[in-house]
Amino acid sequence: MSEVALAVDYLSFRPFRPAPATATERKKEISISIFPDSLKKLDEREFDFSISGSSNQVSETQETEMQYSTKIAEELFKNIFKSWESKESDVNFIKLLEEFSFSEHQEFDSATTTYINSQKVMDEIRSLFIAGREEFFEDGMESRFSKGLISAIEKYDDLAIDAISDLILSEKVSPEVASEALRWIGKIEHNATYENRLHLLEQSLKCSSAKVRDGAILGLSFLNDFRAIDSIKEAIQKENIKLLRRNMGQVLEQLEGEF
Amino acid sequence: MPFFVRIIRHSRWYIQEEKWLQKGEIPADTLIDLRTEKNKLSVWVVEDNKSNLDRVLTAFAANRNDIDNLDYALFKQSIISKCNIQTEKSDAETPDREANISWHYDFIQLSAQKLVNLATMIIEENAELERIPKQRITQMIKEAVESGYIDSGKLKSGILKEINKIS
Repeated sequence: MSEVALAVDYLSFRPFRPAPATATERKKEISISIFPDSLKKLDEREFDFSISGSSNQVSETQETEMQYSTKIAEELFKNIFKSWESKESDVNFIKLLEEFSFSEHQEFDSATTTYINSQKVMDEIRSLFIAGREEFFEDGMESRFSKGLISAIEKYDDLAIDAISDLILSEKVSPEVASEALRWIGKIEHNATYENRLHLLEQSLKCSSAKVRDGAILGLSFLNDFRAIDSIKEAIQKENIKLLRRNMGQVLEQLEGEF
Repeated sequence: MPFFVRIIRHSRWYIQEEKWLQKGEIPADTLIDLRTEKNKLSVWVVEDNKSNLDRVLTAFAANRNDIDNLDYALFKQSIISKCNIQTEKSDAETPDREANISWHYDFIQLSAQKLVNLATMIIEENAELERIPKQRITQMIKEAVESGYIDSGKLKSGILKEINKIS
């Protein structure tokens, strides 16, 4: 959901163009990428999402490359929304989007809509982190915080990860709570947010708090993805705390063993 | 000389980070890992040769809701006498019945001052701070079940799910 929200944030239809299907696409799903030119100027990230049940429409889109009609774009979005219609937040988002006319707006500015949606998620996540400060965290045990965090990720997908990333990487939250969050971010099974979770964990190795770096290395050990090896090597080189450096080395050994 | 082991979180013991500490001081967060109940602190005794260390750690880990990494501090018994701490044999309630009755103790009649002394001694006397990864814990619990040390019927669903995943 967040990818679309982000795309719409800077949306005009023309910048959309299809990308080759990614290696991770599922059998019956088609993966395409959105490259909003205006967004690309700000950030080199690409926004991927998968949709199902709309292969004809997407094939047509792929063939037309940059020549999208507003009709195709409208259909494309409808299909995307259809696959998410069970989620209450998405339904609300769709209602907001429906206030705009795709066919009449070559340039579609819904920054306000997106802002409302992402702000709601951010507020919810921030409240979770604030409440988490009152909890005692223990390995191997759930907490109100961890349950809330998992629920938010399942509900909002990458929009939740974006909010969590913002709070943790800007070091705006309690290191103890951030550390707990990172452990669960590595632990949960949630394919839709996997790449962003991996990215957050790698970035969190650079945080100034040792507690946060510890949460990040634990999260990465749970994720067990060899792609984190370089980030961990870099973190080990910079790590001044002997015990934490040793713990990082243990995870490096684990991932290199897997690789 | 035997040891005591207490389960902790390493992240609360990264004291080098706390540059504001005066000499001889310890971060208050370490006390989170020494949470008492009725002024008692749950610990496990470990034999001189550490032969039962894995057993008690496995028992503890198996009592959790989910498989997770396990951080611990292993410190010499002499620390207890230096801190003037009394011990009392008590039973634990893990899925390892023998470990529960053989190796679990409480530090009793603990004052706040004694706890601070204990945390200080754990740091100053260079207690062994170790972390066992989640994968290793999973294997240890599985082996304990197979050896009959742990009653699988007493394991929580989160643990059972993980150990059933490995062959």
